Amino acid sequence: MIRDRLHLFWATLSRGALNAILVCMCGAVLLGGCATRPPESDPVALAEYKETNDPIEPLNRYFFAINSLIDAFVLKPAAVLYDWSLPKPVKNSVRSFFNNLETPVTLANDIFQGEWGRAKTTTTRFAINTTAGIGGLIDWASPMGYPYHSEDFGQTLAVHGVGSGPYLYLPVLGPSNPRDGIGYAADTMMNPMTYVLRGHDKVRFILFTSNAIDRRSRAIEVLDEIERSSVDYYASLRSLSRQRRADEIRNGKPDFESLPDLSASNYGSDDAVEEEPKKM
Amino acid sequence: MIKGKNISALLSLGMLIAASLFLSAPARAEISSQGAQDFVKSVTDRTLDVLRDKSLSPAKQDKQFSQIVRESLAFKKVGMWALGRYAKTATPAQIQEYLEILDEYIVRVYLSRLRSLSNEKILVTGTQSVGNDIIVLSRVEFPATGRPPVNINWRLVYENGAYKIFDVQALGIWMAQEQRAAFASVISKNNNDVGALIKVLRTKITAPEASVNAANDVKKSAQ
Repeated sequence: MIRDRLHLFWATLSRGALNAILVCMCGAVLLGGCATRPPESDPVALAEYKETNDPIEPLNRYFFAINSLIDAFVLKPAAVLYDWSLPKPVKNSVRSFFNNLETPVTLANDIFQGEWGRAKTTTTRFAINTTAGIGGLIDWASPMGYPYHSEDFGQTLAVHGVGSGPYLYLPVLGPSNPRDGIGYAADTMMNPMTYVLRGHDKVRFILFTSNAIDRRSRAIEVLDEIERSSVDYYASLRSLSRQRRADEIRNGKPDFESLPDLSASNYGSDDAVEEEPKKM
Repeated sequence: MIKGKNISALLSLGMLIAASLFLSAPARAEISSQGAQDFVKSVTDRTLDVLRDKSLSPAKQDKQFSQIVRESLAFKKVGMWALGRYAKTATPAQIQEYLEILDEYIVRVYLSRLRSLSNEKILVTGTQSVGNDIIVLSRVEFPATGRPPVNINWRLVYENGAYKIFDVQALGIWMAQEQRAAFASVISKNNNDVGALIKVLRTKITAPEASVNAANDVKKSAQ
């Protein structure tokens, strides 16, 4: 039954995403989902392998293919229909509502990161939008000078120095990594909604799906364009999601220090001079 | 009395002063900063002019936009950088072919990615030095829709007395870095053969969708 399966899904997540990931990785080893690490005798390939940091790439690509099917046949059509049929104010209310629901998680992580100013903004937003905004349906706070931002435990871990680890393409959740996967599980445990909705799997499913459809609808053109123009959509997505995640962790502050050093490469880069791998 | 010798001395002094005025530069950082900002401003202004010109046919718009991109981008440098370590293993013929196709490819990618910001205000806000290069900071504002502004950063290189764009960053993502990762993936999956990448690039540039107005029509119908 769907209900039982969903219950199992959430239970697995909240009892430890780490377990699930470890199982996956063992499975990956057994099923050949691991990328072949190039031998030491091929330094070019080996350096590339290390920089890419995607040791279970075949397994990731498998999940990516499955997700792409779900996206093509279910999620994207739903998102397109949603986008086309509903007026903008309604869609904005949906977004507002879900953003508001995420407040406890954002607030907790603002505090964990010592971001007091942002914590204040989060609290103010919640107060304004839940009351005057009727349960979060109207975002009065943004135009009042309290812009929206989101935080999660993965970002908190990153801020405290935890590296991301290898690339993971998770079923349903998409581009991620061990640190952020654990973060997601932690957030689920921290979120009061998890407990409020315990036993109401149908409601939880509807909320999760509507949120996903709304988010998907806001990325239709962007993702279409990337897919159209990319020579390897999976690899592009990997690079984009990592860069975007690093930007999120820095809260949008520019980081020009870790840019690749161009003076070292001179029309045909010298292998002896390695550019900094972009990892976060 | 002013004699020939004095005149020539005066002239020399005059020339020396003039020369020092023209040739002496304030600290390199200052000149680069203003020049870099002006360059980005001129590129974005020209682009906006083309995209806002209703009298131009779509084909002509594409052509003019391509022209601007070709003039402003450090094509060869970006191309060789994007190949990364595979540049060493490619044959000169492959490199030649790659650079020719990349030219067209990059124009199309920039066309479709930046056209979504075409109708908005772009404000150049400052610069920052990184090594020998310079980064120009700018911001796109959306006064019509009230969408929060997006920061766009331009990494410029200075070649032969002219500024050229090396990379563009929007929403935290550097475009050339993303392309480099995708290129490396294609090459490494095909036994480090650059020819495979060339083949894929060729399919991308013959695709009909990458035109300014095609993308705009999609955007309009989605609103």
